[in-house]
Amino acid sequence: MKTRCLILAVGLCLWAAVAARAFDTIKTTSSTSITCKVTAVSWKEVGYDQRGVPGSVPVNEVFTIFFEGEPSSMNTARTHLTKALYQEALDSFNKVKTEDITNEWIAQDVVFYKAFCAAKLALGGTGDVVEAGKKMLAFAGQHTTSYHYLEACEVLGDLLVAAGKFSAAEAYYGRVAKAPWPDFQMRARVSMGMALLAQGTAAKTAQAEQLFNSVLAMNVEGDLAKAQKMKATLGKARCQVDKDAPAAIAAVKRIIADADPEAVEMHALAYNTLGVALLKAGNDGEALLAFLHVHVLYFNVPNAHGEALFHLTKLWTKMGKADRARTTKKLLQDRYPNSRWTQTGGA
Amino acid sequence: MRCSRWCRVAAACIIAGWLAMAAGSSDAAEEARRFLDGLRELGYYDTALDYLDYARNDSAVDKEFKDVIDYEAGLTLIEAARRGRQTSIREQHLGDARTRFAKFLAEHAEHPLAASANTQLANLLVERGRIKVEQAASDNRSPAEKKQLLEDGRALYREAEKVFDALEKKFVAALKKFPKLIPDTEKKLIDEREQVRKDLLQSRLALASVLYEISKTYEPGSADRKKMLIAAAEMYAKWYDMYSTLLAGLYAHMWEARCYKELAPSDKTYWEKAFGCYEDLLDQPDDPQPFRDLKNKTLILFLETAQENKAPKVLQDAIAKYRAWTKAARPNEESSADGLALRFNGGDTILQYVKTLEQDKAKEKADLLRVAKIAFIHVTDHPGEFQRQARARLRLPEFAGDEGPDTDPTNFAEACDLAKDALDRTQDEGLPEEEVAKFRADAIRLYRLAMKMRPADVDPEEINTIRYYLTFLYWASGDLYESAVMGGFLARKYPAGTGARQGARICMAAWLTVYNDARRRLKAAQASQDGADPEAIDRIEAEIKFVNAQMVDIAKHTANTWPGEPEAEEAWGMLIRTSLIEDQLDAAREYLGKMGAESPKRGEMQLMVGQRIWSNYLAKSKMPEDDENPPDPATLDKLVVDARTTLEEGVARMRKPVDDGGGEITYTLAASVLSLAQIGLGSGQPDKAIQWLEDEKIGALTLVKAGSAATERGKFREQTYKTALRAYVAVQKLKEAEEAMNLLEELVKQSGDADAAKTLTKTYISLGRELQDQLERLRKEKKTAEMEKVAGGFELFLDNILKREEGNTFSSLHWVAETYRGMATEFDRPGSKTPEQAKVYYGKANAAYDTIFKLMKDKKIEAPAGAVDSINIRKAKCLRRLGRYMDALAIIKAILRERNMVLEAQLEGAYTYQDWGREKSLGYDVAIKGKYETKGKEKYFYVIWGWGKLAKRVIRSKPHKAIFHEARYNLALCRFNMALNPPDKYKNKKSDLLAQAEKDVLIIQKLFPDMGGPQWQPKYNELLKDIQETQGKKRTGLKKQ
Repeated sequence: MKTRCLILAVGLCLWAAVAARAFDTIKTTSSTSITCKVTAVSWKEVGYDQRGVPGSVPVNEVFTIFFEGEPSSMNTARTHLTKALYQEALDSFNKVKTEDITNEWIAQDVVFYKAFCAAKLALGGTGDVVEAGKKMLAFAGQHTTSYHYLEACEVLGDLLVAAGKFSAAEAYYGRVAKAPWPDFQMRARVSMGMALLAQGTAAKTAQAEQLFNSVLAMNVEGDLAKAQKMKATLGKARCQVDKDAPAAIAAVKRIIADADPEAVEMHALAYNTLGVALLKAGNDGEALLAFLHVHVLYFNVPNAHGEALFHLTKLWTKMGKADRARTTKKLLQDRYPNSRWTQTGGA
Repeated sequence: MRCSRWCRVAAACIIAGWLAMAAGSSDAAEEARRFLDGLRELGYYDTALDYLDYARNDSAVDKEFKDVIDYEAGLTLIEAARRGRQTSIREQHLGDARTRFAKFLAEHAEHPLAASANTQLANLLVERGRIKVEQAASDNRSPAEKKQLLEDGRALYREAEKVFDALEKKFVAALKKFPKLIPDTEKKLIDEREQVRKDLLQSRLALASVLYEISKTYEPGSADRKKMLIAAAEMYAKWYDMYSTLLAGLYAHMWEARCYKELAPSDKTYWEKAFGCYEDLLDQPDDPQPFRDLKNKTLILFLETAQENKAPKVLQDAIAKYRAWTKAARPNEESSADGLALRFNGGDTILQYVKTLEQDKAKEKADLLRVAKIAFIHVTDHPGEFQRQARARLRLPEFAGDEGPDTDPTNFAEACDLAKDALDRTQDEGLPEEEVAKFRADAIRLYRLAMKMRPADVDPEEINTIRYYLTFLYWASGDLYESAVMGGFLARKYPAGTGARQGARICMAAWLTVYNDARRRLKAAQASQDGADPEAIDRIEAEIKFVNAQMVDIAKHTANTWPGEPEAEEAWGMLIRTSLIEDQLDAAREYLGKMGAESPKRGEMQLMVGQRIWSNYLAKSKMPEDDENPPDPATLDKLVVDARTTLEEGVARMRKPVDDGGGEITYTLAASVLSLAQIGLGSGQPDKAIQWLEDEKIGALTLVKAGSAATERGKFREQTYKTALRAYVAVQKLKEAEEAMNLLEELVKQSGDADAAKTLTKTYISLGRELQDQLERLRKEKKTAEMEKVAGGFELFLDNILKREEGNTFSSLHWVAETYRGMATEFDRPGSKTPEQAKVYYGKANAAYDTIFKLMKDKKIEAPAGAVDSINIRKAKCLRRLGRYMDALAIIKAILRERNMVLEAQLEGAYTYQDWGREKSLGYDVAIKGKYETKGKEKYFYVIWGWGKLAKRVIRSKPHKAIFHEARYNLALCRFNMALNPPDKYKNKKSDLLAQAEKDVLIIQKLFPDMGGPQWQPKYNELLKDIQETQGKKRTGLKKQ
């Protein structure tokens, strides 16, 4: 859902609210809609009956499911979600009277989305990471058969990384990595690799590099795969910063040149990686510019923005520009008070 | 009318940026430009320029962007100049911008942005004009300077207007050359036409902007300003109509609204127009980012306008819009200039609105104030234009106690802001002195902290501003040494920097205060009743020397660094004053010569120097004739001429405004005119004195008679009457002299002085002394004719007074008698036969004394207590010099029979016998031995002691040391004179008398080696020589002991 929201949000159209449905609708990642009756839900697939013909959709292809009889406010909420308006979405989900819901899958959706919104807000710096983590943990613990389960694990991993609990994050990413689909595997491995990298030890960095290499070796096509391979390249570049900063720099610059201009998260990650590599190479001036790219252009990628502010604070101080250092530090503290970049000064 | 800095972002910069984002830009170029815009928005101009340098060599940056690097650098430099604070740096930026644009044009003459670059070159004129206008707005500019700066700014704007106008015409002509319809396949031609359209738009917007800028060179509310604003608004409106689908067109609409905003206070119809424009713009979408930026700027203007409009509904609407904005604020708007401006203005709009709420809206008010408080607190957390003002807002009663955490600043900017707050608070009205002192101390502490925390790249001018504030604060706190050191440092090290001149001025004032204080302490130490402490005096004198040297140094530096400026004139003035105090007249004259001819202080200084020259003359002219270095008459004459010339020049300057009408007559001017009268009088030119006294506008006597306030100080009026009296007497205008004397007496009586009679007597005595001094000076200068003229005039006057049947008092008659006696003394030769002229005056004095006694007897006048003996003794003196020894002795004996210890009478008795000795040598013997008579049972009552007994009586009395030597000297003199013409009693005893006389002198030398000091020792010495010569010895005089 995370990736879907980010990449597909612009293209999605609003679904007209219908007070009551006579059927379920499965919306897929390829923008098709399956009007049916959902018959079974598991962490791997969603089974349905379409005019007497059974079928199933693997979870990695399910974008969202509109269930018959679900409250209309859920539609409003989903609309907010597609626009990444997580607080508004949460407010809408909170209006849903769960006691009136009889369908357990609808109930699971409500629980999941609430936890999801809280998680997104926390990761964006405005919510409490620990509280959000508890909610998502509760969902993942109670609903292992939900079609949201793997997504929940992924989000949990992100929350644990944000809380600096990298080892625990690895475990949850690990579950996602065991999914039967390459895109999930790639995504999970990249996330796991980033979590290992964030721990900062040589052993963990080496493990991370292995993961990134495994992603790069995967023979998968498509835009999503391409994006994950780019991330893996960036991750690998980070691993190689100590060994061969110039090579890392060159690799990152290629990514920047090739990445879709609309892929703001990719660019944010790339520029931060470039900045770190340039710092390692002793090129503070260009590193400053790299981090400034994130601060100026990609500030709406919270974790990346936080990291950029962290590095900018140190660089400004080093360059004797105390006023600018103070401003960026203040922004980091105000905007991302619960971020690891604020609390521990980084990894 | 407030307009924050962002408001001054010209069309050229925004539009130029937009132009550069022309259709067809590559993604990479677009990203680069967005990044650059973002750096500029954050105010990171240095980093933006670094980025451009880096981009030039970065292979990842495409050619499209690289080609415009110099152009973008030029834009960045313009923006940096616009936001800069120090004029020299701003002008440096503009110069660099010109270089970059010129380079761009040289290398890319055919580039689509070439025309825009030309427009930017014209825009540099606008920027320079802005600098002039901002300088005019500075508080430390005189009205004349402001006017000139505004005119200079206007001239630059007009020059820019011509350039933009020419460019506009050029682009219109160029556009016409394109065919009306261009096929889609002709992409290049389409792009070219598009570029020309955009260049045309840019020049048109620049034209409108220039009109707006010109409006600001006129006084607010003036017809000229209104006219220009209307012209600008109309032009903006025209461009909006033409280009409403383009972002640039929307900006034109916003600037149109800005013009209406500024017109509205004088014409309410413009409110509606302004708000109409805002609503049009705020309806625009939030994306892409440039639209968001435009809306933010529009909202700021909206809020400002609402605050000026003050209507509750308008304010409410503004607040609603502000609150909606805060909910949707983006991360990059947390600390951006626009974001902070919005929050600050949002807070201010709320403050304005809550004032309109009724009592029953307390909850709404509290809620709104909470929102405002959040806004202000947010702004205080971010360095920027509004940070300090936001802090000030939080101190308002509405937010009582919400000033934020009271912690020390953590960085330079914060320290500066807190310090400035504290400094501003010292100016709060009605604050108790303790509070003011506390804020002052806080400000000092915080500025010092800021200096410690200053970053390496801080603008030196900012540091100099701090130094200036510290100079002022130290001064205000009475820390004079610190103030002087800081101000002096600023003036010497950074003469062209902020606050240097003012720092110099405070430094001079601080040293002067220390100097004056040291002088006071020296005077007190010297006059101490417990006895002067030499070490303490030495210390203070050393301090004075040190401080004087510092003062002179800073004053000279100030005068030489800023010649012609008010500070330089003050410096010269200070140097002159202190030179006069230090008795360095030549130095004072030198500094006076360096003062500007047109300096408003010059007149006053000339008077001070002139009066000192005159004092110098008086002191020199009073030096004893037998002084080792007697004054040369030519030197004395020169001093008089100098004094007169300097004073006359000074008075001429200072009287001009009076003569022109409306000028104030100050005490300094009046006193100087009186001085000139006194100089005229003292230098034997009484007619000139009278001119100065009677001048129609500034004459001293004229002013006194008119009751001018300038004459109320001290003894000015008394001095004027005395001078007038002497002057009139000198020219023998007796009626006027008498009038002056009567006015003088009236003045003393009216003073309410309980001892008016004594005061009047003292006044007359001082008048008599002045006359005596004058005669003495003339005598020394051998100006006999003048001397006789002055004396003759006085004689007539005094006779006149004496003859009066009415109006005389003890004081006036006593003065007449004393004056005559004084005049007689001047013509007399003590120890010799009385000259005829002296006899005349002694006779007149005697007659005056008789008149006094007669009137006293007739109870027509009353003498002060103790005056009778004094008058009698003086009468006896006159009689003695008239040769009426018996009459004199009769008076003296009558006193001494009753009061034998009256030393003055004893002296006069001895002198009388001594003078008589010239006729009858035995008189010398009596003068030595005294005269006895029978008194009661006492057979040998020495009514007159004579020199011998007189000396014995006073030998042990320190206060009478001079009388002792007078007695011993005259004793020896009498013996010597007796030896020359021995009476029968000492016939054939000449040599014995001579030997005794010699012993008389030598015994004094043996017993009192100083022999009475410089007054008597030379007399003893000469007498001994005369004795030795008479004895046939060599005139060796006293041997050195």
